[in-house]
Amino acid sequence: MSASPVPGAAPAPGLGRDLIALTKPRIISLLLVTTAAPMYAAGSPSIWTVLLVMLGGYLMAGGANAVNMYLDRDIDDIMARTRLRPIPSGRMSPQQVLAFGVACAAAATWMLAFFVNVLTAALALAGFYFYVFIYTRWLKRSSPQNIVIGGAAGAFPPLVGWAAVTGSLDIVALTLFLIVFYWTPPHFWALALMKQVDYGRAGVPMAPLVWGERETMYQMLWYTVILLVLTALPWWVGAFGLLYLASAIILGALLLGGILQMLRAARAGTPWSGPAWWVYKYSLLYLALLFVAMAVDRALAR
Amino acid sequence: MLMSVAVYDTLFWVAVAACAVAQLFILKAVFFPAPPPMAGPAADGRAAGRLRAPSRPLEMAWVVLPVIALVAVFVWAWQLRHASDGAPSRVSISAVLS
Repeated sequence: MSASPVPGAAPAPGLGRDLIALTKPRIISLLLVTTAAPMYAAGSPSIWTVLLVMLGGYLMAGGANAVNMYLDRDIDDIMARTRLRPIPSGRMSPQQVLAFGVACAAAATWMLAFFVNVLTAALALAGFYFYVFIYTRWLKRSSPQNIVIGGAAGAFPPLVGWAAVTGSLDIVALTLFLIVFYWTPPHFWALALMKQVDYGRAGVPMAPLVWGERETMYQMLWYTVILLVLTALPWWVGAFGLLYLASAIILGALLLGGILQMLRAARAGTPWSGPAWWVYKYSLLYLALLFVAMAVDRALAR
Repeated sequence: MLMSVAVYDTLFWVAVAACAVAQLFILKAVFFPAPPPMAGPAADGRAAGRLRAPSRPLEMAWVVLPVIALVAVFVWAWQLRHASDGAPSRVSISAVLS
């Protein structure tokens, strides 16, 4: 694939760096945690299986992110936080980005189907299609439920990890899917609360723009309540032990506390952006630590 | 940790009740929405024609969909635990994974 600079482009930081930027590596790192940890929770995979699934998962998610940047190229130029991406800055053409994204997804599908199993490849590909077509193409610009339903795309990695080890799905895998699903709205709405101007300018109907700030914060609270209940369910069915349960309770209480603090500040009419930032950042750590706790719990129980 | 079946069941129903209350508030926001913000980026976006009003029937469908998954997972969990009634109060991991 040729990636010669587009005429009039901004100074190039290097093709390699741009290709990596297209995959959004910082976001993928959390997806990889929610893929790898369920693998160790489900069984005792070989290091090669784990590495293959990590590589396949990175390529699939990276491909989806690149196609997302292709489809969103018109609004990426409007929003301050996306203006420096390879397409809006003119360093890569839209066709190059689309080709890269599709190639990544195709390579990931082949790799996962050939070296792991077909169910794993099918689930990873379903996540790709969900992200590209349901979230980016359909919901992102038409519904405040964009993050809720679109969040299902980010919930596929635990299914991928589980299927890679067991070759099937069960209630624990479904619960892990729902945990990520219900975690997504509080996480992204914390960001949306702080980036309302950007989203409004780009015409993306994020919840704060449609429901208002206060209602969005309450919705974050309700989703978090369900999330915390769901995190206890694997313990209740006996899949994980007390170490996991204690971790889930402590980590969840901190998340709930952050959201309540943000709500209290909003209700008192005092600045709430500090607590909102904290919720956004902590929710990333929350999900990573929760999934690590699952793997550690199972490793110690074996 | 060994607990009686009654304690496990009570915890389950408390969890279901908490989810039901939270889910009702989630549904209420879509079925009986508050008026949109009259000032700030939302109002600016609407005035400039950038923010379209979402389709109400679709919004309702989207918000009901996760409830179905949630109910399914609770029913499945209950059946799994009570499939081995009379057995030890803690379901083994092998039973879950098989």
